[in-house]
Amino acid sequence: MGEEISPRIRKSGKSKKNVCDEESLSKDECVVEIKEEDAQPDVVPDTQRAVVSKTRVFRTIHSRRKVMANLKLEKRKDKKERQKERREERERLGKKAPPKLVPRTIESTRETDHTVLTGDAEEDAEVLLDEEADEMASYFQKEAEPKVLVTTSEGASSPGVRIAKDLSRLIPNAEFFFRKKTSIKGTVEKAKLRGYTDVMIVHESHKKCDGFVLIHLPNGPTAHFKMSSMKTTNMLRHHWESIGNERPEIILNNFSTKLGHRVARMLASLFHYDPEFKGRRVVTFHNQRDFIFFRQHRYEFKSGQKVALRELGPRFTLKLRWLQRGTFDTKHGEYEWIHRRGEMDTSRRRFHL
Amino acid sequence: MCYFPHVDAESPPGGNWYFYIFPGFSMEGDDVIWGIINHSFCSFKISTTTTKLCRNEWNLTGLCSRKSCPLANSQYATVREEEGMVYLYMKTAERKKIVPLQRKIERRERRREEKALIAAKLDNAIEKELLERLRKGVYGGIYNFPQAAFDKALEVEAVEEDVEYVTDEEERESESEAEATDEEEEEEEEEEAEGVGERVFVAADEFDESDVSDIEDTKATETKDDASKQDSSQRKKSLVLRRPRPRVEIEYETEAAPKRKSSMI
Repeated sequence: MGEEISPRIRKSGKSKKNVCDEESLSKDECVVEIKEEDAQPDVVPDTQRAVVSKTRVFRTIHSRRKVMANLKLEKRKDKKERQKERREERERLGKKAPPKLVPRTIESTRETDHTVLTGDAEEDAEVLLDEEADEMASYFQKEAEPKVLVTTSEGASSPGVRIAKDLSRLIPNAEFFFRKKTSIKGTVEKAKLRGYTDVMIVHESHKKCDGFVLIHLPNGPTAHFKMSSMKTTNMLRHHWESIGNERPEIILNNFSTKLGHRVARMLASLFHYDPEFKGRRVVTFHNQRDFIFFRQHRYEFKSGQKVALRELGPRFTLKLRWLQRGTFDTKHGEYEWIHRRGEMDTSRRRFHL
Repeated sequence: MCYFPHVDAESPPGGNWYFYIFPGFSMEGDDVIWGIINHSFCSFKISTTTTKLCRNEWNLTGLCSRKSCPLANSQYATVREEEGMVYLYMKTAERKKIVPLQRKIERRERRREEKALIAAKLDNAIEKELLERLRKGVYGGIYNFPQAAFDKALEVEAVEEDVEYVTDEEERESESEAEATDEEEEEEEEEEAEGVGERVFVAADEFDESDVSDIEDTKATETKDDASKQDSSQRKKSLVLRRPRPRVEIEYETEAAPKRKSSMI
C-alpha cells in the first residue's frame, strides 16, 4: 500500500461536485487520499470511483478520530473512577477522612505578584496612603458627586449608540451626547468646564463595539479597555424604562493588585456613593483572569440565605489595554501601564489586575 | 523585479489565462476593459458585415457585446457541457492577498474570555456578596428576616460546607477545574481533534486489522465490565438516587378502532 495522490480523483473532487458530493470535506481532507496498488481506477466506472474515493478519504480521518475519542473516553472513565474511590473513602472514614483535594486552577496557581494587596493594613499601608491622595479620593470621601458624560466614537451606528444610551440610563446623573465631529480633547475640556467628573467613550468599528475609554476629570487618570461580548438591554429582552432610576449598588470583585485597585476605583467613582436600596439594583464589575465582566441585576432576598437574581442588561466584558496619568493624550501623555503582549503574555498564569 | 503574469511571454497561451483578473481590478475596471476591447483590439473579436462575434470559449452567447463579454465582466458565469455533464462555471476574482478574518491572538483571547467567564461563576459570586452585605447589616432595617432563624440557617450552611454537598453542575465545573494542569494540553487537543464525536461510516470491505483490534479492545472492556457488573449496578442505583431527572409520561388513547379488532379475534 503506497500513498499517492491520484490526479483523476482529485479533479473529480474539485469540479464534479454533484457526483462526488465532497462539499463536507475540508481542504486538507481532500488532499490526504490513499490509493491501493491493486486497485485499478481505469476499470471502475465513473460513478463508483467517486464513492470509492470518498470512503478512502474518510478512513484516515475516521481512524484518527476514533483513537482520539477512545483516549478521551478512557481518561474520563479513569477520572470518574478515582473520584468515586475518594468519595467512598470519605464516606467510610467520616471525620477521619483526609482533607478534600483542592483543585489546581489557574487562579490558585497564579504567579506571585508583589503588588497584590494582602488585606493587612500594615503591609498595604503604602498603597492605601497612595489611594487616599489619588484623583478619585474626593469621591470616596463623599465630597464630589459623580456626573458622567457618555458618548461614542465618531460615526458610530446602532450598537455603539445603543450601548452608550444604556450606560447613560443605568448610571445615575449621566448624560448621553452624540459625538458628531468633536475631538476627544475638546470634549474633555468642555466637560471640565461644565462640571463633569467622568467622560465615557464607547468605540465602535464594523458595527461592533470593541473599545471603551474612561476619562476621569479633571486630572485623570484615563483608561482604555478592549470591549467584547457586548449585549444591550434590548438584546436581553428588557426595556430600559423597566429598569428604574434608583441609584444602584456596586460590586467590585477580585481586583487584587495595586493596578487592579486603581481601575476598580475608577469604575466605582462612576456611580453615586449612596445607593438607593429600594431599587434592588446591583451593578457588578467582576474581574477574572484580567477580564472585567460587567453585569446588572435586580435582586431579591428570598430569605436570610437565599437571593434571586434577574439580569437586566446591558452586559459586556472589558480588558485593560492601557492606563494613563492625566486626561486623554495619546501623543504626549504619561502611561502608567500598557499591556505589552510580547513581554507580558508569556505566561498564562500571570495576571495584572 | 516585477512579475506580471499577463505580460509574461513564457506563460502558457492555453489554460485559463484570460481568467486572470489583474490585481486591483474590480467592477470599476470592467468599463476600462470594455473600452479597450470595443474600440481598439481584442484577439477573440471577429467583425462581420452585420455583427461582431466572439471566439472566446467561455462566452455564453458567442456575440461580442458588453453583456456577454467574459473579459469585461468581473461577475460572469458560463454553462458548458463536458463528457455528457452540464456544468456551471463561475468566474471568481483573484484577490491581492488573503486577509485572515481572525488573528490567532484574537481567537485565543476570546477562548480565554469564555473560560474566565466559566471560572468566574458570576451569579454565585454576586449572590455571595449580596448575602455578605445583608449579614453585615448594610441594608439596615429594610429586610426583616427573624434573626434567630437567620443565625440558625447560617449554622446549617456551615455544616453543609463541611459535608461538601456537590450538586450536578458544581461537580461538572470542579471537574473541569480540577484538571487545570492539563488545560494547556487540552487546548491543543481541541484544535487537533475537532469533531471527535462525529460519526463516520466506513464501507465493510474497508475494515482492516487495526479496526478488528479495536473491536477486540472494546470486547475486552466489556468483559471487564461484566466482572464488575455488581459494582456498576450499585453505582447505577446510587446515580439514580442522586440525580432525579425529569420524566415524560406517555399516555396512549384507546378509541373505537382497537375494539373492532378484538371482536374479530
